[in-house]
Amino acid sequence: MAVAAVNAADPPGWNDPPDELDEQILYGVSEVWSEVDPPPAFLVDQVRFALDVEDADTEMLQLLEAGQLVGTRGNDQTRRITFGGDEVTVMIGIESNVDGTLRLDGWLAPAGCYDVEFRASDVVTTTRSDDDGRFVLGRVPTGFARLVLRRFGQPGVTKVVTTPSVEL
Amino acid sequence: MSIPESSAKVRGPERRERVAAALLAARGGDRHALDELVKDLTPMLWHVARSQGLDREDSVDVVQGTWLALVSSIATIRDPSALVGWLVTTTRRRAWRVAAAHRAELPAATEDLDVRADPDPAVDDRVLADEQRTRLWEVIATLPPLCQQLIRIVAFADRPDYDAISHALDMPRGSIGPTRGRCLAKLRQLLGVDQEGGWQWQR
Repeated sequence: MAVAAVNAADPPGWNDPPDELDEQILYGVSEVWSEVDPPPAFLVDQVRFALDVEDADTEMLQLLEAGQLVGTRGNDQTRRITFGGDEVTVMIGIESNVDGTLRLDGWLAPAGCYDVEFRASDVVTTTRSDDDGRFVLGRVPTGFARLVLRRFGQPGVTKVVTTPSVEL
Repeated sequence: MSIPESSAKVRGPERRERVAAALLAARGGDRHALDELVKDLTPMLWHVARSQGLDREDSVDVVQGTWLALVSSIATIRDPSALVGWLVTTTRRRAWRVAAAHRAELPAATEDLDVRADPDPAVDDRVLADEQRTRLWEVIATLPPLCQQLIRIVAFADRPDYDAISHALDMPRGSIGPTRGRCLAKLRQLLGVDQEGGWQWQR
């Protein structure tokens, strides 16, 4: 490795091995930047959650549409999100419960029987769609979550799809 | 004069051992180990993205995308320095693509407007939690921009990885590395410290 030529403008000690004081200074720099521009508190969790995909054979659905509807009860609003994939479309309506949790009403098309698993960072709740492809998750927490759907009742075929994680 | 205990957890030999062990396990398919890497190295990547001029929302997307991309590449990454180099390079490239896409979206007439929300805080006159922090911030502001960026990122990394980071940021040889390097030496000079002075970071 070539040694760079000595230059009168080089700050003193630039070619010395680093010492304890350098460590102190750099730690100070990290503290200063952490105060001035911290990453969002949710960032690490969001990344970890995004990495937690079931396995290579799980199809990830695409977010097709997200919107707001005025509900039938006065000024309540239902949020609606639609996900789509190769074989199934999933629509969910999200409403707030009085206690701060959420109610999810889901529709699968084409209609079929699926196990539906709601996954948030520390909560897993399951239900099953009926013959019309409808399902309900009556009380789920707000925050980042995804749905994992497993088709059953078809001998020899287990199709698993997952939505991307979204913030509810 | 020793490094405060809390800092040993975020930089230093202890952290580096943890990263090395987690990398080995993650390459073997251990998802929990991957989570450990995410926890240890995300702050560094945040500052890489932000220092490329991205706003907070874009920086979140870029950092997340980098980690997702790592999953398919991790089998080829042999050691912590290679991992850090890969992560910094990937984050930087993704940040550039996002920044370029934004520029392409802006019609020529509005080019002068800074339409980004919450851009990276420029070094400015601000008062931090204590005098020492405020002073260090003022000094950082006087560093040449490339050194500022390099120091910002290596502050969240460990010494054996400085070379890889410097390379990932296309820094000139001698900026940092096995020796102190020009950037850190400059910072020391501007801080007005020397070994006998015994400058110590107050927690």
